[in-house]
Amino acid sequence: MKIKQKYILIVFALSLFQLTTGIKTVAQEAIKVQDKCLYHFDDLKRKQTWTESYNGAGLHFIDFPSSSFIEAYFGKNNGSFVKYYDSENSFNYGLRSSSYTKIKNTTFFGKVDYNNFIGKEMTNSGLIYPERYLMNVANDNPAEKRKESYKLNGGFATPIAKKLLFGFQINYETANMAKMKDLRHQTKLLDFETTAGFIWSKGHFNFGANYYYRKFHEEVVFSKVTDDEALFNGYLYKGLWFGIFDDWANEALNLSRPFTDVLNGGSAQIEYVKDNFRFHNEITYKFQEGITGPGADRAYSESQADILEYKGILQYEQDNLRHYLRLKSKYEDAVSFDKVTNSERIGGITVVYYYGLNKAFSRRNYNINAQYELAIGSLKCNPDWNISAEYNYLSTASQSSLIAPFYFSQDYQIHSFAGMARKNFLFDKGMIDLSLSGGYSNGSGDRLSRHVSPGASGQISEDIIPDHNSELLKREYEYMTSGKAFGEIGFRFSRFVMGRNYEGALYVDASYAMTKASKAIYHDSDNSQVFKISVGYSF
Amino acid sequence: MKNKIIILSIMALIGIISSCQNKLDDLISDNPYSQGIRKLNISLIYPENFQHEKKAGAQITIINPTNGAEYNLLSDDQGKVSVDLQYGFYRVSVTDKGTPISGAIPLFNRTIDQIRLTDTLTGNMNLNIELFLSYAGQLLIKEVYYRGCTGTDNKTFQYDKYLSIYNNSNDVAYLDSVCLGTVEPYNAPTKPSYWTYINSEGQTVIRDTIPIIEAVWQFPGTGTSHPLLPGEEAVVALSAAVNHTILRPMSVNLDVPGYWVCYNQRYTNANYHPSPGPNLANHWLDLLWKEGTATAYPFSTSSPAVVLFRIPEVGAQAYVNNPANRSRRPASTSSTEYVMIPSAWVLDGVETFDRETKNKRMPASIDATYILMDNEDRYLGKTIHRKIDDEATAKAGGRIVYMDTNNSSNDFYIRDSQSIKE
Repeated sequence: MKIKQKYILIVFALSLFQLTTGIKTVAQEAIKVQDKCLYHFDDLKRKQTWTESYNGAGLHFIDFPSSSFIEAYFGKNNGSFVKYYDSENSFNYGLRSSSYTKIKNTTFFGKVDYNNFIGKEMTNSGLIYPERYLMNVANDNPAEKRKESYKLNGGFATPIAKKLLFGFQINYETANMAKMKDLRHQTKLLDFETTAGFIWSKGHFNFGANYYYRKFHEEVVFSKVTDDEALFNGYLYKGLWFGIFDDWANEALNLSRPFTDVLNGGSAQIEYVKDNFRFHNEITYKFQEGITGPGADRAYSESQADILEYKGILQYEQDNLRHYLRLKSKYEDAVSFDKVTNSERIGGITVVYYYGLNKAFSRRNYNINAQYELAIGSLKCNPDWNISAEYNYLSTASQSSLIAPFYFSQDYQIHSFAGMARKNFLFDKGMIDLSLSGGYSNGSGDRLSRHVSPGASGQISEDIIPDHNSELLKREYEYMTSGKAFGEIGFRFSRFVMGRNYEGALYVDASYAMTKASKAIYHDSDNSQVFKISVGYSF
Repeated sequence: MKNKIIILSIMALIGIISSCQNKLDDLISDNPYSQGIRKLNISLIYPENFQHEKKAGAQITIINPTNGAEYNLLSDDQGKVSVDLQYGFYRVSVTDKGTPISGAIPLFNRTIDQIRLTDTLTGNMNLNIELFLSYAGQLLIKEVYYRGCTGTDNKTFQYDKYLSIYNNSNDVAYLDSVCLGTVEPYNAPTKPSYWTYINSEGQTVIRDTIPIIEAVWQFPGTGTSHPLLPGEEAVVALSAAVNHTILRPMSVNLDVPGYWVCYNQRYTNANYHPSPGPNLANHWLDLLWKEGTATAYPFSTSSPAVVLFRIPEVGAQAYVNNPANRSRRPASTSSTEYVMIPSAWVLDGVETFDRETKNKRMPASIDATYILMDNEDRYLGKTIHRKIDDEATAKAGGRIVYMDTNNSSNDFYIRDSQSIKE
């Protein structure tokens, strides 16, 4: 894949801009040099109540004047215990930079990320983010895939009246992925998300509300380059690995199609603040509508979803001890329909008949995540110890209903527990962070059950069960529910860099993570590993 | 204040979790077909003088070409059946066998395309199906080999196509003047055939007169020159009548005395049509009519629809020469003509599909359904072959009698290799 030079130039230009802005801001705010050197960007971001909010106006409440980093990174993934669409052997590298900056009363956030990914032996999905959709198009011939992606995030918050803040956020991602061997596909991604909101402060409370809009679009185009008689399998998955399977050909099973989803919604926030105590709550509702195919009138399928989210952060900060309790929850009710049409030539004119929408797949899932984090040490920007414990619960129910009278259901529940500890060692000219985390996840449920529509006993025939890829069903179910332990060890070395007009830290950050399943029948191995390293400058 | 907020929050959280889990449980117990379903009530109407044949057990096949779903149903003793179907368009095929009359078995068949179940339809759809009468034939297409094979060089090969004609009766049959052709289009179409009309009930019906494409071949003879005894077969090479097995063990030897060949010097492609050897002397089919400029006789390697027929009127040659008996494709500007053959003249026909989602070309009076051989089976030497009717074979004293219900999904199966290799 050809690297687009202009995007790299944009990334560097933005980084230089952030560098110059950061230096100026430090001077304006007269921050202690020592503090600035100690900043851990991600840690600081995580310990705010509004940085994860959909309401950009909350950026105003960050409790540090500025923090930025720029880094080059590299990652390597190995192992077969991965999602069905992931590679067993991949690497990626890129450049990213991010910054929070306060200039007078306005707070800015920006992030750029360029990533180049190469994965071996990839298959089973033509989509870049297949789990966003209720259907998928795929071929089962493994081959190398390459992907380039560019992410831009930005936002600002500013007071527009006494005790009234306005904020705006944009998240943008574009990517291009290509499979390098027949049956090939090229997939283009465009993802745009924006929010605009207000926050009104009254006494100990902050009340917020924002509008939410997102549109994501992937266009998949399959093609065969070699001029031979070789046949390739094409799969049009419509949920629970049921669908239409056939030899790939544009005439018979045309897998090439755009996927377009639009979400509209809004969030409401209420935060209680008293002294060192903060209790932040955010409820979000989103309505999602999606289509696949050339356009609304000629769509192949339609989908819709109701999404309800809750985020709560309870924060209590003392001089040497800081407590953070975070709770996230999400409920999603999604359904997809086959749009039944056909075209006929009548009297030389092509007439398109519309028959209706047949419910093809329904999925409801519920997720709750609770995390408690304790930071020990006098500096919020750099605690001596960070200790956290986390619990996650996911419950999913799905139903596939492609051909009456049979339908199929699946449900499972997953419990995950994790713990993490990080220790900071501070020296005169630098510091070292060591981190260790581990956890265990296990699930149970019903992989697949067959049902018959009541009153349909006279028409039962095994002939009308749709095509089904049971191997992928088993693999995916195993991946989700099998007992698996995971752990990560991390190391970060920072070297302080201080001058008259600049202060920050050069760092190298490396981590190694491993997941190991207790039993893996449908995967080639029971483990996977991820190695990451980044070199950067925080300021 | 802090404690109250926390307690209230925890209670709200428990309520939400409980509610969400209930919603998930509801999904599993929901019937997804409680909406978006229409009931199709089918009533079979038997031909005049055959009302007494109405009985339980007529085979009714409903196919959704969009997703390939196939419902196989049996009528009740009133000749009726009902089925719940999702929105879409369906193909309904009926086949039934009557009581033999003077040894002839009446067959009742009918296929109706484009049964439309739409979301604008209120209530159930009632469909009255008038069955066509036909009789089991004397001469049958026993086997068609059209999918080709693969050579030892791993190259695919398709010059060795053939079909086999079988005398399924107890009487001597004569091949003289029997014609052979394929129905337009060459391959099973992805859209409904052009050769249809919409009847008074709004049903799309395939015309009863079928269009023969490109060529009409005819067995020579004076009427009794080429007898076929009960249980005998005649193999017709559709391309090269040579021994293909020398270079391609998966292929067949078509240079065998007694075999026939579609050979005429108007087809100049020597790969497809080399000069037949002495074994096939006087066994060349006559080319009665040829349309277009093809240098080889086009016989689909994916999904041909082949028919045997006799032209009883003025003489076959005069019939095909008469422009009134030829037609262009409806609603087309193409000048290509097709010889139109009434289905009553057809001795036997078989329609093949390479995908379930294709559309039919033959009316039900010739072949109510189709035999499917998909692309996974191509270039492997596989054929479509008629099934043996065990009951009729026993009655015939062991002479093999093949199934003949004018319903090829019922009558044929996919054979792993060519029968003439045995």
